Amino acid sequence: RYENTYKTEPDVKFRSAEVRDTIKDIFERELGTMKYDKERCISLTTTLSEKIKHSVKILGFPRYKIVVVVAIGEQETHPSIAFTSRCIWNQNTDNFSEYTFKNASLYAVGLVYAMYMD
Amino acid sequence: MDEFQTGEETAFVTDEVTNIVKEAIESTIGPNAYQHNKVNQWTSNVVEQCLNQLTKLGKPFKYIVTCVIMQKNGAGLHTASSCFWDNGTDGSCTVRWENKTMYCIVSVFGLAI
Repeated sequence: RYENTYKTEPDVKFRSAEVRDTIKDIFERELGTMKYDKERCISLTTTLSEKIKHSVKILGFPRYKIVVVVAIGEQETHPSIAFTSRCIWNQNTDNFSEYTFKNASLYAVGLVYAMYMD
Repeated sequence: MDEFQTGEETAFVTDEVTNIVKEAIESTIGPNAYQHNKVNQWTSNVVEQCLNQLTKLGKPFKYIVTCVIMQKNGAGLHTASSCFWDNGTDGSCTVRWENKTMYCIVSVFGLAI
C-alpha cells in the first residue's frame, strides 16, 4: 500500500470540468437513445462505473483515490427522487464532478469523487 | 516494503457504520410518508447526521455519504459504484431502507488518510 509522503499539495490537482466532460461523453456514447430496460440496466450501471473510473485513471491524477457512483432510473412524469451527498475532506485538494444525462425514457447520474492521499 | 498488520483502528468497520446509518434514517424519516417538498431537507438531514456520527468515531478517515430517497410508484432505479482505493484500509457500505411510501438508499465510502 502507499506510504504517506506528507506532501500536502498534489502535483496535479483534480480537474472537475474535464472529468465532467468525460462522464458526459461516456453517457452519450453508451446510452444515447436507449430505452429503460430493467435487465439491461443492472449490468449497464456496473459497466458504466467501471468505464468512467478507467477514463479518470487515464486522465492521470497521481495519489488521488477515486470513487465513482452511477445511478440509472426510469423517467417518470412526476419527479419523485432526491439525490444528496456530503463529504468530509480536505477542501484544498479534494473535489468531485457530476453529470446528469436524460433522454426520453431514462435518466443517468454520474458522480466522481477524488480524494488526495498525502 | 515491510508487511505489517493493519491495526483495528485504521480499518473501515462495516457493521459500525451500518448501525450509524440505520439510526440516522430511522430518526429522520422513520415514521413519515413521502412528501415531495420535504424530501430535500430529509436527504440533507440524513447525510449530515451520518457524517456527525462518523466523525465522532474519531478514525483517520475521509468520508463520502450519498443518500437517495425515492417515492414508491413503480419506477425502477439501479445504482453501482466503482472505486480506486486501498483495499486493505478503505471500504464502503450501503443501507437500503423502505417504508410504505418510499425507498431510501444510503451509501458511505470511507477512505483512510
